[in-house]
Amino acid sequence: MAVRKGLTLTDVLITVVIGFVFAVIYSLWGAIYTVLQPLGLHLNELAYGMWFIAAVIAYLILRKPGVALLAEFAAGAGETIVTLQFDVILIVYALLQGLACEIIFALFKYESTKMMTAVYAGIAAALITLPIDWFYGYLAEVATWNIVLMFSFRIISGALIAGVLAHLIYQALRETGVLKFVGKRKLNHDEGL
Amino acid sequence: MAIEIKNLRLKFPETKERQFSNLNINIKTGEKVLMLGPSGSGKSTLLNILGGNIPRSMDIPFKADVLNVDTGAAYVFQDPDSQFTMPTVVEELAFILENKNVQRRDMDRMIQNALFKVGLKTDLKMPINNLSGGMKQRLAIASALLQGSGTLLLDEPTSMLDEASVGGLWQTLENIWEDKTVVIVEHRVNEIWDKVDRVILMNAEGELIMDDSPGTIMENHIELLNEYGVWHPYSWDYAPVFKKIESGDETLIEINDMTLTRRKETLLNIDNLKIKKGEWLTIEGKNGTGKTSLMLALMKLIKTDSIIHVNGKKVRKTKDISGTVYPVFQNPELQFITNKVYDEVFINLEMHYPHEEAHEKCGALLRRIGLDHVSHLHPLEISTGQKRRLSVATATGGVPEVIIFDEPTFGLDQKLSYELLKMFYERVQDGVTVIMITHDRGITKRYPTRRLILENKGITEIRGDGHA
Amino acid sequence: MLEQIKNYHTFVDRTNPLTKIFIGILLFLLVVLMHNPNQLFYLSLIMLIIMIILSGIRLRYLAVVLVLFFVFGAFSAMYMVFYGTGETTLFRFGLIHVTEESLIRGIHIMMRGLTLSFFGALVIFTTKLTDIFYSMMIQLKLKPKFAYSFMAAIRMVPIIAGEYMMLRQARKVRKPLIHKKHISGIKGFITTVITLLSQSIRRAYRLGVAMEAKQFDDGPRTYYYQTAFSKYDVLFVMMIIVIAFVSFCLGTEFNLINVTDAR
Repeated sequence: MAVRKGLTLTDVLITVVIGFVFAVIYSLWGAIYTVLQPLGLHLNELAYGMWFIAAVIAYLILRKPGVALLAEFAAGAGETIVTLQFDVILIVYALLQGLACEIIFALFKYESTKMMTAVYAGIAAALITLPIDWFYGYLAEVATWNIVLMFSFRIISGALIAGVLAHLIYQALRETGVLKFVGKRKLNHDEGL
Repeated sequence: MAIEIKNLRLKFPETKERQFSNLNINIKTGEKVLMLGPSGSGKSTLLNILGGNIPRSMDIPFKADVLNVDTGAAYVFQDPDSQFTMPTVVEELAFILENKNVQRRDMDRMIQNALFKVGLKTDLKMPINNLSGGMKQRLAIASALLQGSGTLLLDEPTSMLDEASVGGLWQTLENIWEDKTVVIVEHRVNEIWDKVDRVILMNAEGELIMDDSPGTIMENHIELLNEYGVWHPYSWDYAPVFKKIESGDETLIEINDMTLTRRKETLLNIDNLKIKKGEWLTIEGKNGTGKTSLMLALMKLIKTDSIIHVNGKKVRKTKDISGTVYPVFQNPELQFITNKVYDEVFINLEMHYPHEEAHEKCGALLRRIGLDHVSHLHPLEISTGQKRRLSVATATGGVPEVIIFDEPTFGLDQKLSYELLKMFYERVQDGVTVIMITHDRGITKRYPTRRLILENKGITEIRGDGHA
Repeated sequence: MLEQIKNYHTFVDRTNPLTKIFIGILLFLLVVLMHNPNQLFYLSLIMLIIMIILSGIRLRYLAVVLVLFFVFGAFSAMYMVFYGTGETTLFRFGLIHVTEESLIRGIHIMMRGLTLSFFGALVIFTTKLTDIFYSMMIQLKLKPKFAYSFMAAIRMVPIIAGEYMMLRQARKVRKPLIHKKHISGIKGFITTVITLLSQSIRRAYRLGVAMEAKQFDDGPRTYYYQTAFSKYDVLFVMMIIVIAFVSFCLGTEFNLINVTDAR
């Protein structure tokens, strides 16, 4: 049987559904994120890495080009649907964060399932939207210590949540046996028939 | 169209044994064929070959010398939640027509026609999620009709339906299938036994061992049907028979002045209900009479006006009752929290016994319910029947005094259902109170000591046949 | 679902979803580039009024939505109010240092968020989800496999949410029977996520099989909904341009505060 190129319908469906499961989780996570906000000490940034965990997990499961970007977009769009708020910023951010992960995975030729790959992707996604935040939130006009705090929190969170936690979830998910039929497969697996 | 397969070999990835080796099958145009077999015999896999799902969508390695199958065949699957694409009824049917490149101006007429043929009377813009199980399956049949295929493949289309809707669904199928080739995989066969031309039996090794008319098979091989867990017209003659149960006088749970409401309407009123030690209760009632809500309300998982006492103590929150009374939900997978079948049972036992003894008891319990061979697997990986049994085991491990099961035999084959009934009886003998929510008259007629029937917003009590 | 809380329909309901999304992105750029708090104030105010009038949603529901917008908006600007730089001190407590400049900047950031939220609400209240994906297929030539995957996933959202609720109930009753280490903290979170994920992946896989059995392929197809661009799109674009222009003029002519640059 020929190995199909690109994303099959099933790949796309699984990716989008993973995105939507995280859309539900993101919506709940939004409450935690908001509660951490009022002090202005950027404690919420410690929760930031959750916003792109979908991209990393979808990639680990399917390991095909475009999956990370699609999953993250689906999660963002899904959040719009779950919370009934169309938020342009959220969609733009989701696309950029998905793209950042996608670039890291491309560097690893869509092969690696190592935890460090996930960590790099998490950090890349944490960094990619900082320039927009800089302009949108007038970050140049905030006390320097406050900015440093925000940047470090966000990078740590990207590495820990979107990297380490995502990888733990992937490992646990593999044990459920649900991944046997999805994602990239070896060639010639019809030997012995 | 006729189907012919010669020397089919198929092996699932990451397994040692082949599912099929040298399998041959012939089905003539217009024939109605019923395939029966135990779980693991590969009935569904074969059905997926017959309509070309393998290899079109499912990447499972196989080879065959002759493979004449109908890749345009229409399917009806068992789970309505995973066979529809679109949000509403009309959009779902239009999806089929779009796939066939039907012009927009022809769509409305064809959709109306298909809905009429399957007897689905509903608003076209009705969200599919709001339809009942029976209506969803009718919609699936309407989809199959619009697909316009000469072959119809039915993969347990009634296993998620309650008894009342099963007959109607088969009638609908019979109305539309006359000129079609039909292959059915099903374990509840009462309604279709006389309507099929051939019955094929598959064994656990994936071999076709019997291929004959329904009459001949019923006359000569009823023991095979029982072994394979098929629900046939004489199934209940082979049901387990238990000694009558002497329930105690000690009241465990007392419910007073409970009012259940749904969308501001009263669903159920209970003035007083006492549940005693060692009873086997059934809760019956039509869809929407509040059976599951009653369970959730008792557990304080939904808000209601009620006064509930357990062992004489007043229940205010879920945690006041949840150690004593354990509910087993309809979807057992949602109750699992570990990554091994073994651990799932063990974590309940480790709280009550010393370490060594807990391990011993865990092993023994798994053997008794026939899950020892899958104890190393993930709870989400095992079959539906095994998941049900595991959820029963998790309930027994924690030594609760009352266990409530929400439709425990729903969708299970005969063999598994009887095994569960035996487990329930053993629990009752140990002094545990078993409460079952069930539609199944075969069960309610035979086993409970007391039957609670929900009707007219109240509860009627009948003494059960299981009572001494 | 939306229909039940709507009083009436307007031309925005007939505007192509793609137009609305495109305008949304332009609006995002506009608010990022707008540094005059006076202009932004008028922009957000007009957007609020337009949203209330054109969405057709009952006021009772709008009120709830608006309260949430204001609360979230205020939270998201706190860091600027408390720690932003500035000359004129209004309040100081430990690390917190509120200045006139940082307060105005904070309010400016909040108004940015609000403007986008009001516009977003207008879009959500006037757009059918399926129309977005049909428009993308017909006008933007998006491959059907993406569009239909999204529509199928939307149908699954209530199923996923329902499963999550049941999962929580199931854990509540199991909790007292087992050691809490199995159910709390990160371990509890991971098992929750993988249960939801594995159920959903199985469902998506089966749906993929079912869709292809229904002869779905990624090639050319006919469409049940015919979406197109129309005069309503022109009207919508013009309305937004006028709103931007008017708030720009008002903000320049009638200053409410004496600051013209929030930076």
